[in-house]
Formats: sequence, C-alpha cells, structure tokens
Amino acid sequence: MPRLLCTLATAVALTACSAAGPAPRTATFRGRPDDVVAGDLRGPFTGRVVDGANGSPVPGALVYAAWTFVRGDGLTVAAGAKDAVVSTDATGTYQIPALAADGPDGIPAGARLADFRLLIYKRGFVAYRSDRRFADFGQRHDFAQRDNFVELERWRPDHSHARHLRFVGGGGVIAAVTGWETDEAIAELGRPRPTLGPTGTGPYLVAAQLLTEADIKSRTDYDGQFESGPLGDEPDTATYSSQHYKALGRDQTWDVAVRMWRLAGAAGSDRYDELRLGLPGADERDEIADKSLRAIENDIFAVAFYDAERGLVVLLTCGRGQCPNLDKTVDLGQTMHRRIRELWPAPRTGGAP
Amino acid sequence: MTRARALIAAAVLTATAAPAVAWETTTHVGLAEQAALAANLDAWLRALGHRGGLFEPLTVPPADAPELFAALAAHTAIDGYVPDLRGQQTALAWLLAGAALADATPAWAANHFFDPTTGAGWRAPARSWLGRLDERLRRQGGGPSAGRPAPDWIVADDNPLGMAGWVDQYDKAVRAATPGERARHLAGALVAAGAMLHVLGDLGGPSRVRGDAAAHFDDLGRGERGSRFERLVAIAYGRLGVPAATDVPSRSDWRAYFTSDGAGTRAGLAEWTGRQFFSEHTLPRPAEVGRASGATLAAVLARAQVRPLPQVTNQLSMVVATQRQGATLRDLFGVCLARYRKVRGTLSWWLDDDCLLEQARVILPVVAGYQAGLLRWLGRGQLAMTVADGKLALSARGAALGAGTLTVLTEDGRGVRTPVATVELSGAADGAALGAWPVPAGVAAAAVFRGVDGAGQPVVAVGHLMLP
Repeated sequence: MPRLLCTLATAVALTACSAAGPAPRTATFRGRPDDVVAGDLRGPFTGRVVDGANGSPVPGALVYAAWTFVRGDGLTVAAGAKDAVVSTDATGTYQIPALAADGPDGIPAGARLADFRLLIYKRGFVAYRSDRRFADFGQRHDFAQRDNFVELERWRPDHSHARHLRFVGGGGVIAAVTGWETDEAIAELGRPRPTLGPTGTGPYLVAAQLLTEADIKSRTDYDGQFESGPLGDEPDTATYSSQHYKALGRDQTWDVAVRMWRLAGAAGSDRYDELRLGLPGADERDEIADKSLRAIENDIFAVAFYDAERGLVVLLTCGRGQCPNLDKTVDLGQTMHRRIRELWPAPRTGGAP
Repeated sequence: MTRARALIAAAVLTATAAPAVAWETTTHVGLAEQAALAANLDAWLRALGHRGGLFEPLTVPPADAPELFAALAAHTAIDGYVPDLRGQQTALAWLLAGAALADATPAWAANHFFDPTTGAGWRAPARSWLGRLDERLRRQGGGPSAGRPAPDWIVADDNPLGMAGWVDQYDKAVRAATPGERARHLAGALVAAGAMLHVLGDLGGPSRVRGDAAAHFDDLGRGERGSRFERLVAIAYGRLGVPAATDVPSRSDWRAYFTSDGAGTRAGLAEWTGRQFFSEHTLPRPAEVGRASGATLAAVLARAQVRPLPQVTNQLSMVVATQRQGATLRDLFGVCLARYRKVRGTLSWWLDDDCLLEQARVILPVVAGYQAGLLRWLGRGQLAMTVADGKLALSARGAALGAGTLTVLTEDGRGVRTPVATVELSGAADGAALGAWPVPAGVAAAAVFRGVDGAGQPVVAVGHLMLP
C-alpha cells in the first residue's frame, strides 16, 4: 500500500510540474554583451540606440518587442504572441519590462515561450532586428538582453525599400511607421536601383557626418543635450541628406540643422543659386568653399556654401539662442567644410560631371 | 517495484504520439517569400492590374473572416504576415500568412506527410494505454493518429486552403464587382496559395517522406520534443535567412511537384528528398562489419539499410571510421549525408548538427524552387487582350485551355466591373483566339476563364487591359 501511494504521489507531483507550464526555450542571445551565458527570453530588456554616423543618441525610435509561444509535445503549433511597444528616450535608451509569468499579459496557459525578437525603427535609418542583420539577412550574434548597444546605420539611397519592408515585418504598429516606404518599394521594383551617388564617385557622405554635437557645443558653449536625427521634411535620398540637432527643453532658437545636397554638374550650382535667391537677405561672402552666403530670417541664422569640386551644397541653420551671432554660424560652416575635406580628401579633377 | 511504478508514472506524463510540424513557421514563411520572388509574383500581380505588385495593400475586413483573424492572432507581427486592425497588409504578406496557417490545427498538420514508396501519409506510432492516459491527464487531446497523404490533402474537400479554395478565390479576384471585393478575394487566393506552398515545402523534410515519425519526437531539451533538424534550421535561417531558389522546375501537373518519377529535380519533391537524404531514424542500423571490405561490406550494409535509399556502398572508409571522431559519408556534391564510426567491429551511424546544416543548405533552395514552380503553375493561365478595329480580342496565352467558362468584364472609373459577355468554351490551343467583342465602355477591360487546361488540370486564366 505505501508503495502504491508513493507511485501515485510521484505521478501527482509530475502532473503538477506539467501543469506549471512548459519551460521556456533557451534564448539564442546573451544576457549582457560581455556575458557567455544565455539571456532570459522573458526579459526585461534594456539597451541604447545611437546614430552609427556620429555616435549621438537616437531618441524617439520605435522599439517593438515580440514574444512568441508554441504549444504541444512533438506537435508544436503557434500558441499566441505578445508584444510591447516603447520608444527610445532623449539618451537613446529603451527599457522593455519582463513578460508576466501568467495572466492576460503573460504566457498563455500550457504554452511554451519559444522566442523573443526586437525591432528598432526610425525613419532615416536602417532598422535593427535582434535576430537578423539587414545587410545580408545573416544571423545576428551581438544582441544582448541587457545593456544592448545598437548603432543604427543611416539610410542610403542604394538601399532597397522592398528589402527593408521584408526586413521589418508587418502588423499595425510597424505598418504605421513604415507606410511611407510602401510607395517607395512599389516604385523601386518597377525601375533600376540608384547607384551610390549621382556622380558614382567619391565616398558616401551624409549630413550627420559633417557636424557633431561636440562641434556645436565647443563653439557655442551650450551645455544642454540634443536630440539628433534626420529632419522630418523629407527623407534622405541619393541627392539629399539632413540632420537636425534639437536642443532638449529649449525652444527652436536653440536648434541647429544641416541640409546637404550632392548634385552633379550644373545642378549643384543651380541649387546654390536657388538658395542665394530664396534666402532672405542673402549676403554673398564666399568665405567657405567656392561660394558661400550668409542670411538671417527672424531668429534663425543661415549659412550656405557650394563646393564645386565635390558637387556639394550645404545649408546650415542655427537659432539665435544657440548661435548668438552670424559669425558663430559661419564658424560652424567652416568646421563642416573642413570635415568634408577630411572625409573626401581627393576631389575629382574637373569637378562634378 | 516502487522504482518501476515511478518510471511508469513518469512515462505516462511524457509519452504521446502526435505529428509535428515540419519546417517551423519562420522557415515556411521564409520559403514562401523566396518562392514568391523566384516566381516573380510582383510582375504577375501587376499584370492583373494591381500596380503595387508584391506590395499592393489588400484589405480583408476582420468581420468577414473571423476564423482567419483568430488564427493569425496566434502569430507575431514581426514576421511580416499579420495584418493591421483594419485587416490590411500587402499581397506578399497574405501569401506568407497562408504559409504560416497551413498547420494551424493538428488535424491539418497531420496531412503534410507523404512517403512516395508506399503512398502513405502520417501514421502515428501505436499508442499504448499509457499514452492515451497521458493525453487525458494533459487534456491536450493529443494529435490525430493518421493523416492524408500530402498530395491528396491539396484537393481534399475539407481543406479550405487547398486547390478548390485557390480556384474559387482567384476567379472572384477578377470577377467580383468592386475593387474592395476583388482585393479581399485576391488575399484569399494568396492565403490558399501560401498554404499549398507550405504543404509542398514540407516534403523537403527527409523524415516526412521517409516514414520517420520518430524524428519528430527527439528530445530538444527543457522537456520539449520535436524535430531536431527543423529546430536547427529555424535557428540558423529564421525567416529572412532562407536562401533563394536555385532552380525553378516546370511541370504540367500540380501533383508532379509533389510526387513523380524522374532523376534529380525532374522527380517530385518527395522523391528528390527521400532518395537524397537520410532522416534521423532511417539511418542504417548498426551492423557487425568485422574486417569486411569491398563487396562484402556493401552486402552487409545493404542488409542494414532501413530504407532502400540513399545508396550506401563501399565508398566508406573503414580506416577513418575507426578514428574517434568517425568519418563522413558524402554525396557526389560533397554534402554530408551521415557520420559513421566503427567500434569493436560494429559500424554505427548518426547525424550531427553540422551535418544536418550542410543538408539544409542544399535542401532549402531546392524546396523554394519547387514552391516557385507550383506558384507559377497556379498563375500560368493568362488571357492576351488586344484592341483593334473597334474590337476587343482575346486569346489564350501560356497554356492551352480545355472546357470552361470565359467571362469578359468592363471596368468603370470607380473600378466597378460588370460582365459584358459570357461564353462556354470547349478548348483552345495556347495562343489560339477565343473571340472578339465590341470594345466596351469603361476605362479598362478584364477577362477570366475558369475551367480546366488542355491537360485537364484546373486553371483560372486572367487578363486585364487599360482601354484607349
């Protein structure tokens, strides 16, 4: 009799274990970047997102986290999914709370936690996935549950929106931020892909490379923080790139913005002339590159210059709060042109075709 | 005795017999995506008048298909095939949704097996009373004990995502009156197509075509059982890493993509996979080979074969096999088929992770190619439409047509289509004229033929033309 009781007790105990729910699968990512042990699929997850071009934080990026569940023994069928949506703060940091153990926000009863994946999306950048790289769709090995470090690559015109949409996935949350890419993808499949730049020569440059937050602070003595990222007016293209340095907690007179056009042949000169004719009170000084001008509109100072050899037109705007006078703005413009020459030291003979 | 009873109690809680899904969902979705790219689904959809091609947004109001949306709710949006709250996602995403939903239930999953040597589908290992008791304890119900052979499931009356569903929805995707209705039916057609790609793709799993049910109950750790091969593939490739199709075979009969005789990729996928690779539990049995060599070794191994193929002959190296790490049996292309080792005169076999991943690198592009072939087959019916001398002329293109109904429609500026002519056809050769009608009023004309092709296979042939 005692033996039978023992047997039954064992069965009951095992049943109880079974009723507690299947154990989560082993995570394919590490707990921390310098760990050798696997992380916990349940979370929590933390990390920091920066601009790969200059290392500055990327605030306001969508961080979409998804847990998936399976059910069955041998037979494993989809048993549900949970997601969490947050955005990066001013320092580019994200925090995703751990999945609840049970309840409506937790693991469904009887299901096994099978996977966790993370997507980070910010317009103007290539999205980041915790499981795959965009460049080759290969397996990502550097994702970590905590203190994950993400360097977002700036979007380049030779990137494919069709490929990018496949990369980021779907659903309401994701579609809401990627909707604009759909038209680009549709158009792209019906025409040849653009080359790296309009001239097809020289290094690839984006506006974010021309000016760092440190450059600004060292010249304006600003001691606050910036949110930086592409301007919202239009996306980067083969011929256009932008960067917005938004001063945190200050009005727009503390903001700095850079717009850069890379245009072949007469188009560069034409673009510069448009700025010269369109900017209020444009005053040609030719103190930067081949041609340059100064302009003032209300509390915004502007400096534009044209580098004919490289086919580059740059427009810098700086609010009066950040740049107390036009000379400071010109100083920043000269810094940018020095940076251009560092990044592109050997201009083509004969200028841009 | 106590120990024995405890073990029985433990066995009660672990023994079940149910079919497993083949490739995991992410792999299936990745395969379908590659098939769509290889089949140029983008151009196909554009020719239908859907200028967005792969990225054409198609809406299925959730209230119109609650079961579909309930099934999709079990999936994550991050894999790209879960619509938004309005029920909208791209055409490509609907195809992927079908690939994901094909084994939404255990009963459907059981129909994704086919052993070409016997013609049989899934057969669950015999369940003991312990197994049945376990199912009751777990209240999971277990899985079905048998399934229909995969090719039969494609045309089964109770398969909502099979050939009949495809034909019906694709026909309505052209014939329906409003753009909204047509978009909804096109989404339905793509879901059915994706599900059929899934069923075909399953036959790229060696265990599925070699009657190896046990391979789907391997210990995966943490109390989980399933196919080690398919788990490995899911981790290594995910959805996005699935390689592109290397070759797109062409067949005149949909069934031939699943099963048919022939060498290499001229065979059906089931034959190609089954002849090419071992599965976990269809490796040769351990055999006493002593000091056998040459012809005698081949005879010994022939007796050890669980299944007649792949052939294992005297290309084995008994010298290397005696080394601790064993030796590798490779096919003509250098792909690992199995590892083997000789210990105290007994030759034994196994499949390690590296070997399985070598096989996956070969199998996945072939599977995607077969799927692309099936997708092209589904869309092979086209109607060439031209306007000349005040007449709208139609002809068959891409396939000969058999008996069926041809409907010509006009489309107004709002996109509303109205039938202007319906004729019964008895057949027409590829390229043959089907008739001419006065050019209808409207901005565009469309035509759809529903019936069979010259070989008696189901076909929906479509055409679309912007009117001058």
